[in-house]
Amino acid sequence: MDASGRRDRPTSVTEPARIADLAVVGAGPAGVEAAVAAAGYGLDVVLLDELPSAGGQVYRAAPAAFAPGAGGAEAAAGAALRARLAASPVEVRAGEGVWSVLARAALRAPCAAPERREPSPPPDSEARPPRAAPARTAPPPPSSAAAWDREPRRAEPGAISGRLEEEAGFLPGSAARFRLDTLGAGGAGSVFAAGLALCPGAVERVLPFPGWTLPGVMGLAAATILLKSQRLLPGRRVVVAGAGPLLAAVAAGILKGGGAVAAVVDLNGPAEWLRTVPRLAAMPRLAARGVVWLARIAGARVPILFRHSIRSALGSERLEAVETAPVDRAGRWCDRRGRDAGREIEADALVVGHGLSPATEIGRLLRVEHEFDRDRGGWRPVTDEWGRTSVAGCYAAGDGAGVLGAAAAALSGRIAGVAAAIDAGRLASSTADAHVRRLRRDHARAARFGAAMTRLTALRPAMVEAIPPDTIVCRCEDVTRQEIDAAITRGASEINQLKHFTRCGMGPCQGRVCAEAAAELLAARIGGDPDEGRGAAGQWTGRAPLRPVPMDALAGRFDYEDLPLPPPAPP
Amino acid sequence: MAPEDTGTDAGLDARTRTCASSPRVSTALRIGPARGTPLTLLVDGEPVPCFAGETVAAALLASGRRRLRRSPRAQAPRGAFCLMGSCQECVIRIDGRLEPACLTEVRDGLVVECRGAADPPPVRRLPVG
Repeated sequence: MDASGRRDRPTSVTEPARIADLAVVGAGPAGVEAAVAAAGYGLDVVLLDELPSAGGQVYRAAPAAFAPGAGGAEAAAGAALRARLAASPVEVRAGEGVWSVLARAALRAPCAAPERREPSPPPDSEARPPRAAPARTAPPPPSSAAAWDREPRRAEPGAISGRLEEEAGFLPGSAARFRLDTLGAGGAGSVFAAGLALCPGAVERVLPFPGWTLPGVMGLAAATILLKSQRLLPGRRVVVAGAGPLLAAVAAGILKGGGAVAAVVDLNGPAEWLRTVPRLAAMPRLAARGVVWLARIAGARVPILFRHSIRSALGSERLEAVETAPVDRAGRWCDRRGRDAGREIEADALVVGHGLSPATEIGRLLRVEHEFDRDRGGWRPVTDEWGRTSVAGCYAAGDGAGVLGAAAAALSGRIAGVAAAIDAGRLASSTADAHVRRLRRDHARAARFGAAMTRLTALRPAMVEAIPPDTIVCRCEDVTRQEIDAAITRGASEINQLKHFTRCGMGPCQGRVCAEAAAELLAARIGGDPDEGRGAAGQWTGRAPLRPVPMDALAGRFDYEDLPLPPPAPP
Repeated sequence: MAPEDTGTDAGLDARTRTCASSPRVSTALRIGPARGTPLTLLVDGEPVPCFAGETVAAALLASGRRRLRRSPRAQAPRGAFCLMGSCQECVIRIDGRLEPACLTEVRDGLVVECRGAADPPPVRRLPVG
């Protein structure tokens, strides 16, 4: 802020554009590894993240202003990741979020789908990369421009598209294929890049139940942020509910911080957890961490309600109690012993999470091809084994490309970074072969563990079916289940139609919170196989801005005196 | 619930703590002493003690303020939900601008407004459902 109390927000128009070889969005384990790997092969890399420091949610650092505290294994891993990043030539833009991405190809053929990469070769012919064949014969070019431009264009840009490109800031002859618009403490900015690696991580899925909008109800991932980064308990007496390994992590974290856990309410039963045991062997250190969590929970004599779910959160202006009831394996309410075995638990905080879904917003904005994969958290971008998406120059890695956890994310990020270097002509894929083969083997092992964890949290359609009619599904716009049902009855057959009919997903969160529940409600009415229903229900069309952008950040600072007003007509 | 309920933890208890002439920092939810330097936020005119490095959302939660705003249609109380800048539930007026409280770090004397969260407007309460 300057002396007058106004924030210094330079105009985006006058700022010189940053042109990079590779822009990486998201500085979690996947993004950092992709950036460091690509930079290691000489690419000029810009890494962007809206958080103030790298590490993502999993390795979220305590604020720099905090005195150093005792950290566990995760804190050490996060610190190591940040140290490697700091030692690399990657330009890190922490605290700078991306609110829009524009593909140059979309300007060349505005009505058609963006430029596509060639279909990947079958796995056994992997030695030959689908693109960038020149890289194998020519020495690395002085600038990445040459390599990217050698690729045949689908059509010569006409006069109109040329002007569109220039207006969007793409200089003629520049290799940039993507324009990223960003917003940070320093104001609005733009980054132009030849390649784009999407490593946005995941968003937490919380399925609606009565009272889930009450203050005091938070996500499980939110609780991890409070505990790890802010060193704060979510409440004095907390109910921890939902599914997956985060349950144990959060409950143990609250107890370690001196808080009280009123109950752990787990959708899964011991049988589901036991089924993961063979996969736990793949990552013994992670499994051991889970054992420590469980020991702490058992030691504190916290009641664990297996195969239970939250029936409602109670309270008028804030959470006062939580009502739980038993469910069957499919997540359907069941009355044990012929009566309702539900119970009410007094609590001032409920932290609840039903798993993670890939954050696909930028991919959707770029019209990247996606597929629905329930066991990987939902919709994910279709990628080849290098992480290349259907849009040329665009890669996806980490949980944003299918939820498999942090260990797998780091490895998939590194593979995508190598792919970006190969495609930019900095590296022959035959040179990278041995290295990438080892990465793939490690990734497969981490993915076995991650997939078992993600399966524990896979969305159970019966839980969505059980949402009562007057329960809010879309928090931003207060849209209830019965309004969604009514819209489907009136003919909304696809999720964007549902949005138009009801405003569900139209609010400031851009549908990130309600997407899974809304789509599942629609899929159930489409009928047939739930996964096919989800495929038919589709995804929200990606739209900028991905985050609300203050108008003055775009307009910049100006004096009214300086506005070029035409002189008034003579009298 | 009592009509004078403020939506904060322990109602009056939390109020006396944050309104006291010499504001004592609530350590009830804060884990450990390893924090930044003590600062003061001005929340709806009341001084709220906090520590450098905390986000506005965390400082409000630690002060017992869970209710941050009301939803636009049902005028229902809302608080921080995802704490990672995704859900936009904690977007409140900070230093005169609408900002997500979970991504905004506290500064000394920062003016935060949750006004309207306590008293829903009497009219325009559209039926939901």
